Amino acid sequence: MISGGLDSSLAVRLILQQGIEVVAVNFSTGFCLTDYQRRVARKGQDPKKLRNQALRLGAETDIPVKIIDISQEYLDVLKYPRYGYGKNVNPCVDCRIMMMSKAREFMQEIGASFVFTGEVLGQRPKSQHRRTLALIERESGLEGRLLRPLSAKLLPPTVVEREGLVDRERLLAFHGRSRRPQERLAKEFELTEYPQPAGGCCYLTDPNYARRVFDLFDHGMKAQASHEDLLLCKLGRHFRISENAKVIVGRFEEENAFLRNFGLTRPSLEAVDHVGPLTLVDGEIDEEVLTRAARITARYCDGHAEPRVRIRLTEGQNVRTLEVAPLRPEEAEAWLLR
Amino acid sequence: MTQAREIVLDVRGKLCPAPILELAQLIALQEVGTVIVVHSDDAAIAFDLPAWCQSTGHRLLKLKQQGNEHLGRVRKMHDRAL
Repeated sequence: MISGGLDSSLAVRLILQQGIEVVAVNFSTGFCLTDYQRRVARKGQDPKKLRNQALRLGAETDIPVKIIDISQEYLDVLKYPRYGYGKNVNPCVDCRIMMMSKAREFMQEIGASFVFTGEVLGQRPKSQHRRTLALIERESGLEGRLLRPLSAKLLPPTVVEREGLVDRERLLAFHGRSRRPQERLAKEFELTEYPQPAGGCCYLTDPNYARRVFDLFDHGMKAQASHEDLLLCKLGRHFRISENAKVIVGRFEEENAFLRNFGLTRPSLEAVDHVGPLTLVDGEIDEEVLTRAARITARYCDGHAEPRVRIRLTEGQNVRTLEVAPLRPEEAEAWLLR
Repeated sequence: MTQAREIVLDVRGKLCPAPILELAQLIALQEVGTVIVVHSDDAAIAFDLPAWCQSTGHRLLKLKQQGNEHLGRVRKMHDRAL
């Protein structure tokens, strides 16, 4: 199971070195930072930085890569993690159990003997402790068949090591958060191209993102929140303007362009006479909510110092203009979700 | 000599991994020799498509950029699942 980061790149090479045939599997949850960056790619951004790293690794090592989209099932893991969240909205233990379970199914489907990952003992606080690694192995049904080549010598021997399919002596004993051993090994393998930070691209660990998601959950949206709702939590500035409504304000041109796609299902606002953001209103809509959204839009447009600003409001096919006073900065601060 | 069958896969507006997933699903259903013509506006497809072909053993016949769009031609080379 690979992300395409440094650790999985090294793990794949260690196993290939033993003459073992490798088939890679990569899971798409929809919460990878690269997914977001692709959506709001700024002009001139190097597309190479947006490439799929698992495919890159597959091509470099000549191994087939199966990408499996688990984004829909992943929503339940995110909303109701049995083992809770890490520091933010990252359900790392449940996430790993789900992925390893899927990897086991794939292993059985293709008749493989074991699953291996680039996990390093003690590298991540939530999911890579010794006990947690064992728990994940057990819960995913992979007992004895889940190998972590980078830390294998510090872990109990797996079935495939005991049976001699994998030579344990040629595996490693990496431990902890330092990247130096991996960097040294990368040099030995003459690896020059790998993403930084290695594989750690999940934005569920972003504190700002987590606050927005928990705000959504706390306002009656936990059961019904869709991928779209959760994606919107990643974009723009967010303002909780009433118990049941919030406003999302684009921060730059590409973000505005992407938010515009959501304007079909939500009211959207823009300044008529000034350059400014695209604003979306999410939740229960009434005139008070729309006026507040218009004032926030005015606050972030180039006409924010004007006494009154005209704002175009689009609701489906209906378009009208509101004339409002821009929100004062201290008022905006009070509603801003940080 | 018969012309290889061509099928168009229009994945414009979709971002990775959707284009590659759709390509993998479509190619699995075709006969060996079929050419899939991929239309994509995902900038990263310029890297992902060659990488996918390299790792799966299908042949990338052509990949060219026209403005913001990419046009790739991929020939199915085998019937293996991966």
